[in-house]
Amino acid sequence: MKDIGVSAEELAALLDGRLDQSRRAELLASLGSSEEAIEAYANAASVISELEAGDTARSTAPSKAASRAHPRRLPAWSWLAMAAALAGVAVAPWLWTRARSVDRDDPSQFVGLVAPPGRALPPQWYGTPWPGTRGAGQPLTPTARATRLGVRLVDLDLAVRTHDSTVGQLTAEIVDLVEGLPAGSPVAAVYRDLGRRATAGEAPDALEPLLARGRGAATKLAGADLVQLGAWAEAGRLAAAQRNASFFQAQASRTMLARASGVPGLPEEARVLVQRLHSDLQAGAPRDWSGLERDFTELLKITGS
Amino acid sequence: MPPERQRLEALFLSQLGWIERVVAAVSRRNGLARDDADDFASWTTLRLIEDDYAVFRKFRGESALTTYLTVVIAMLFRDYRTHRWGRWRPSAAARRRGPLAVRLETLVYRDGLRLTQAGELLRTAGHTDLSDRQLGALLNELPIRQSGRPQQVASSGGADPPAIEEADDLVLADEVAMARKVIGDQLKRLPPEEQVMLRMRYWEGMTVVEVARGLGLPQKPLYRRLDRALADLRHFLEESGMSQEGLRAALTEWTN
Repeated sequence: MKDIGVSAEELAALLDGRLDQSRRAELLASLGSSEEAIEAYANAASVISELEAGDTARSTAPSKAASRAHPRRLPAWSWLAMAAALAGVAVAPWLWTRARSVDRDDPSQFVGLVAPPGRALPPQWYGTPWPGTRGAGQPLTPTARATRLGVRLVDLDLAVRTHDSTVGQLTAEIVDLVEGLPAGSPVAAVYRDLGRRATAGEAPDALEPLLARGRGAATKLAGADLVQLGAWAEAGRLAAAQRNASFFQAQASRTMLARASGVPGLPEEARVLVQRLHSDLQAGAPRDWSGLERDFTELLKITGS
Repeated sequence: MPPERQRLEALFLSQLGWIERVVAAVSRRNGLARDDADDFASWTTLRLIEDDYAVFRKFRGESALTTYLTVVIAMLFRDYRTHRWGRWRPSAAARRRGPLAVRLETLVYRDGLRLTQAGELLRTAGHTDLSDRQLGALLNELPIRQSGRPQQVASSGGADPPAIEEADDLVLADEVAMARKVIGDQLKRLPPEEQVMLRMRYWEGMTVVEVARGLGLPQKPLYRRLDRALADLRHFLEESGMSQEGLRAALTEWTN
């Protein structure tokens, strides 16, 4: 942060009215002579004012009848501020907020199709369809990272739901994957926390908000299309192992299948395989379940390598 | 993980909701397009967590943590803007007219788009339903700026300058810069609080409510204090020998 002659904390104390008279006067004199400081201060003061106005509007929202009885005239900016604050997630740009509002990109939509309540995971499900080791100097490609993330997000969701012992292993793997992404550290922190809490025995319901937050943020960071593809393919692999025809008939699965071959960054070999799966599955319910499981495993091997 | 890092990480996570609201508000106030706002959000997050959460480590508790983070993010925005666009910043007049005016001004003057292109972009992004003519009227209410982006001598057809006379614009821009400097000099003769008050109100385009909140002053008497301070400034400007025309131009640039 560039030095502008006054510290952020001093300016914050001024905004909070926590300075004594002499310190306040000194700081105002500094502000008066620094365009940079006053701009930062003005920006902060406007934002605080806007957010406080929004909070007040939320906490004191009158009933409709009361509003009609006491119409209140507010300057245009106040309406804007209140609208923005009330709209909340709709206008907030950052990935956390966006992630919460984009259901179509949520990899967990496939989890419910393969893990109805009470159904346990197949024994020893946790595995790596892609090669286990990579040589030195061979970082993961963005495609491989995003696909693997999609796979592990589904696995983790399932493991948490079924109290599977792989939760710690899965969160550690997700931490590794997201830490390799720009701005991934906060998301990694979410998964570390999740791993700690899950292994301490917290109930799946209590972990769901954390799962949703991490899932949304990780998806946005890595790229929704490929994470979705990885999640769908992992769920498809599991559905094939379960002989679960309803997964392939579900709208979410069919939609993903239809758009999978157009996902940017998909290797050509994977694209051909997806197109074949598309035509096979469109023909009706799968007959060769083992072959289908192999195809999904192969798809993950190609895209996750 | 060391306990101190764990504590700072937990502190950061506990403030995420506030951070995202502040980032959104700063982006909106400064007219960032959605992609730029996303980029600013990611960039800010990195700054907040880098060097093992140094921003959080430096906090001594002399203010509310939320206020401190708001100021930090406002300061970071200046760095971000300079890093992305050099010295460009929205005019006070555009800020007073709201996010649409800021965005329009940015597209036309900073990015060098024609009004029709800017209008198309704004409508497609759902920022407005206004026609080009209406947007043109709004643009005319804003001060004329020099483009923040180097212009090609021979345009390839896509980046025509705004529909205004360029030579006149440059002269006007010079006058405005000169007026701003003279005002800056004379402002120093006012008491510090009056200086800050006027700069916040007119230079930064803040509302009186925001100025009152920012300085912890009662709102009602502030209107009169602002008027008085502005009258004093006018008097100092006259004393400095500024012509009536220059004075009018300077104060118009400042207060419109």
